[in-house]
Amino acid sequence: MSTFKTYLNSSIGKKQVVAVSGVALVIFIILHLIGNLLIFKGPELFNTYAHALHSMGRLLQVMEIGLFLTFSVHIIFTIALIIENKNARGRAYAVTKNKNRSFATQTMRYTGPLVLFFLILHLLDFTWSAPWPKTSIVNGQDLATYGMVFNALLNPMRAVVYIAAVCSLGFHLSHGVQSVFQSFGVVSASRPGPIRTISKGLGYIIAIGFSSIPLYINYIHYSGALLCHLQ
Amino acid sequence: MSAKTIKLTLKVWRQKNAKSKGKFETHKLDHVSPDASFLEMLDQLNENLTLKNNDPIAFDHDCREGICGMCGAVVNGEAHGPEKSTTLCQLHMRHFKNGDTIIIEPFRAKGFPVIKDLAIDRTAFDRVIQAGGYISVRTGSAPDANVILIPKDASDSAMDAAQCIGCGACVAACPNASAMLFVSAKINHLSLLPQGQPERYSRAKNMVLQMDKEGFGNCSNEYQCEAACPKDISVENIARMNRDYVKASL
Ligand code: HEM
Ligand code: FES
Repeated sequence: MSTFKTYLNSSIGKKQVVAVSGVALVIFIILHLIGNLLIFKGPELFNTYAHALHSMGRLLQVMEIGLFLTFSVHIIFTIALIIENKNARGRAYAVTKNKNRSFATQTMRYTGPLVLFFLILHLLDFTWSAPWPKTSIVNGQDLATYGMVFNALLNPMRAVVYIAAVCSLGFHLSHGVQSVFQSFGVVSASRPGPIRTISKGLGYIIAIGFSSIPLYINYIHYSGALLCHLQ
Repeated sequence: MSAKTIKLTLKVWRQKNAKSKGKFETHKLDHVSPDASFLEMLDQLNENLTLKNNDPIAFDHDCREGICGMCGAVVNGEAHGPEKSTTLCQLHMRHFKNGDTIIIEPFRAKGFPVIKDLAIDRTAFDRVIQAGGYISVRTGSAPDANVILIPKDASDSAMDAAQCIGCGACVAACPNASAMLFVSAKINHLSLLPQGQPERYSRAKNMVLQMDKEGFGNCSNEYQCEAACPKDISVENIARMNRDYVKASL
């Protein structure tokens, strides 16, 4: 046990905890994206999916608690790292020059909290939302989960905030994923190569994938295409 | 020697001792030969200061050949200055233009307290080496050639890691003042070779723990260390150390 404690207190140990929790969150986010993209298939299929999730009952609760703990671990350990890193420098340099330090890399500690801020908003919108049918009626029809998502994302402010948030998540992952490979020494991601490409690619997929949903909802609303779905 | 010389404005960090606050001091320096090294330029400034009865600027140096790892300062935001794969002593003034302002700071890290001006205390690195950067098992007397076969890529990687001169530029350049490039090079130049195997995991563990104790930061995989390293030590060493460290710990 004490070896494990030493590991958790060490620089590399903490870093690897951030990486493991990061990987768990990445897996979650990919599954979440796949589920959400069912919106494109119309209200019926999407609601079936939402219903299936909720009918898992206990299992869903366990998964939610697991997700909450994973987020907490990720955040607590990164805060510890950031504080230690600040102390390790001491007095700041008058001038610093970055060498090939990408935007995504430099903004990890800002894109992370942005995602957290968004996550709270997201839970308020969809998990602790006002009871249906208040929020789920579209064109006079109660569309359950689909309607709730539709109404929330039709609000242009919401749509903009959502897109900004998923883009910061995209940036976060475009550095984060390659970082995991390096942190565990699976393969060094030091040079441009497949690992860097996967990392960037996943960042793009997440950012574009999630952004497509508010864009699509606004499109079908204003183009009248929604009515086809409602027949 | 070229006849043309350049004029410079130097903003140099001055600090009496580890405890004092320190501040930048500005000096003009004329007649700097483009063939002078950066340290020779500082020598020239110090001569002027001494002639005017001012305290010369303390800076670290020894071999002035780029092999001892003693010199180093952050020049315009870059550890060892703007030239790639070059120590400060091997940086020449021809890389600067007439009229340039050069900002010179010490390597800044909690683990490297300032002794005076640009001179810093890097004994933290010595203590990291003392924690395991050696081979203490009996390896027998010198074997005949080719008795122990070592794959070419392993020996190449070990020799590349052994290039590290321990100057501390990696710590200086890291946004988190992490010493992982140095420590990983010192772990791997042994662990890649047969004689380094018996102590491979205990070495990794002990050296990392000492590194943490010295107050260096945590790697966030931004690879600024590799970009600043005068000896081109690869961050692949860090990946390998990370792998050995988990194996050693769990
Ligand atoms: C909720 C707030 C979040 C915060 C505050 C946050 C913060 C951070 C920070 C600062 C790092 C860099 C760690 C370092 O420099 O050593 C990091 C790494 C990482 N984050 Fe996050 N993050 C958050 C959410 C997320 C989410 C939602 C995901 C995934 C979907 C994620 C995935 C990752 C990954 C994969 C890494 C790389 C781990 C490594 O460097 O090995 N993070 N996070
Ligand atoms: S003085 Fe020896 S490396 Fe620069």
